[in-house]
Amino acid sequence: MTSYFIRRVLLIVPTFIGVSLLVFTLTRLVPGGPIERMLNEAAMAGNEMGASAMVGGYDGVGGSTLSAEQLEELKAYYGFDKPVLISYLEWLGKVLVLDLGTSTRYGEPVWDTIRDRFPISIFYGVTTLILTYGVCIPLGIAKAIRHKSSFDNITSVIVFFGYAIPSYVVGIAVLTLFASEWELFPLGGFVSDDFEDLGFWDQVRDVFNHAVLPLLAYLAGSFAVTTLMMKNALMDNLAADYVRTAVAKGMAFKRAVFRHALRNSLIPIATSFGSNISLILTGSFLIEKIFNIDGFGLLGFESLVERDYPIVMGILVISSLLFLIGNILSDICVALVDPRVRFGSDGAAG
Amino acid sequence: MADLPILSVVGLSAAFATEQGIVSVVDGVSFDLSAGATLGLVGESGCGKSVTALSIMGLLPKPAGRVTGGRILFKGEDLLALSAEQYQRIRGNRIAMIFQEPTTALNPVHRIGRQLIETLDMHRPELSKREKTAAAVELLDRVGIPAPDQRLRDYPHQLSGGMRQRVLIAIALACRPDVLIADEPTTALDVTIQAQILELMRELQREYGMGILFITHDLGVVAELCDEVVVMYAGRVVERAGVAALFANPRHPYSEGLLASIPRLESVPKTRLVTIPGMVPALSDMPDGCRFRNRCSRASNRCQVEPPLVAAGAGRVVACHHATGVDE
Repeated sequence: MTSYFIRRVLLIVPTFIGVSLLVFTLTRLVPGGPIERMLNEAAMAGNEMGASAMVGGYDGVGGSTLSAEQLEELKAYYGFDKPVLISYLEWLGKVLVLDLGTSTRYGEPVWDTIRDRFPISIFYGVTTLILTYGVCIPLGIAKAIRHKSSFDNITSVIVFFGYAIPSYVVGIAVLTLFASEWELFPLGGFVSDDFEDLGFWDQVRDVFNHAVLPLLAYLAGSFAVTTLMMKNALMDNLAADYVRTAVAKGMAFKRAVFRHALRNSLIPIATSFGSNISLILTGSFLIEKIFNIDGFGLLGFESLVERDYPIVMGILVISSLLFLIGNILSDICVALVDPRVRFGSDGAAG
Repeated sequence: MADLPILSVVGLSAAFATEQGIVSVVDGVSFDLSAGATLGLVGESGCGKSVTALSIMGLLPKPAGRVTGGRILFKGEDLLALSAEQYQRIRGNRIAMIFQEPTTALNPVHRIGRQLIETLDMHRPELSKREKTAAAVELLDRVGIPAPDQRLRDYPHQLSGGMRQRVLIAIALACRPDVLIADEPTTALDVTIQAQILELMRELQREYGMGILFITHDLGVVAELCDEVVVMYAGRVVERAGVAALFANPRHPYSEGLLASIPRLESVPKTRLVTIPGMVPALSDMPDGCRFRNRCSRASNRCQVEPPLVAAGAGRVVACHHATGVDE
């Protein structure tokens, strides 16, 4: 099994190179980019200077006010003067020494920009993950045991209702209701402006107050899949012969559920656990936008719109690595709960 | 002592709620099982054998299935009157059961030892952990599993089908029950393993003195193992007799048909096997009177009235208006 996981970890390298090379090449192919943005800005500036003078002076090169020489300089500055592969290798070389480059928009190191967003995204990611599993697993169990009861039906309606509404609609709705109409919660942001001056408990309360509405938006749709997966898996296992064996031993049915059926039902849940880890860092930019939260989702979206490629690539590095590690984590989870799973050749029968 | 039945099923009826309404699956089944004896319960698939067994165990799938009438007397006490907790104290302890599919009857994610010791946890809480482990090793050894102390740490998938059935037998026998219900325990195993398991059950019965209710559709197994046979058809008992008497002289046309359909060494090879014509009617669509009459060569107008189970010689009963060897 160890050899299997070592192989999986080694496989991260070619996969990562493939993913990053693909995206890197795409950034070169799509129109727009830091240079065009600069040209636009320069053109805008020119516009403001003398809008009337520009009317006849349009030279057809995108309103460029820069000379060809200046353009070449800019291209060299951003590394656009070299072939894709060469500049990719240069970029990769820098990544290996943990240098993700400099944001073309902020002029700051990419790592610093990303790092600023970490606490916010991790806070929302971890809370969402804990709440999702914390609700879905018990709810799924309760629904399976009371299959077809009114409790089961009503919770199904609620869960699917939440699933059916897009999260940004939930976001806007709760924001309008609870923050604007009734003013129970703040309108947005991660913390209040006077956060630094608050005592510890007030700080905790402040974070919590700001988090309630975005979490509602994040969570509304996240219950259906895992709850139903849990319910169905448990129901399959409740009907399994070994549960009957356990009851035939004289075990109470409830105890047989928790001692026997439950662990088997967690196998499909464990399969999806690893990939959820990577979701921690990729918040929904729509929700972040609505609630004015400076998280990963918003950063990624804005850097794409602004063609801030170093940041795009920086986020890609982090999210793809997390995803690849998450997949291995899934495998480990499955191997932990299911003794029949033995990867590689060193186990008994597969 | 041997004559006093340890388990008495009296007029047991069970029904299932289906989309077509309530369907009676077992209808007035009665038999006695004595300590140390083996009673065979035979019949085609769907005739109510397993439902009878599950009723005795109190394991009918709820809420669909339930016992609708009759009594199940264990040592004179009606099991159907017991509370859930009282039933749990008997299940696995005084009455134990082994199932058809050794592959799925064990929990795949727990070790053998844990699943075996679990029975002791519930019924022998006074034993220490070490005593339970020792008892588990002894049990595995008793059912013929080599290196039992190592097997305790194995998972079910690491054992073969025959070994798994041995483990299930060990689990069932952990508390030395008075009654063992075996629901087609050898059906999923190949023939050589079958013979080993049957031999093991016979040995253990001699040693522990329990009564065995052996459910099967394999008459060969019945002949080998049972003292008495109950033949069921479509939820009813059609004939009950000692094994030798039944094989020598089946009285009910259905029993006759079952025996005739066993291929024999002396029959001509590559000829058509004898079968009972027709199919078992659907439970929701049973004929009045004798349920076998639409497949029976001896059926007459009298068969529209349900034939009662009547004495038909020494210790045997049959439910047929035209039973062979019974005075009309």
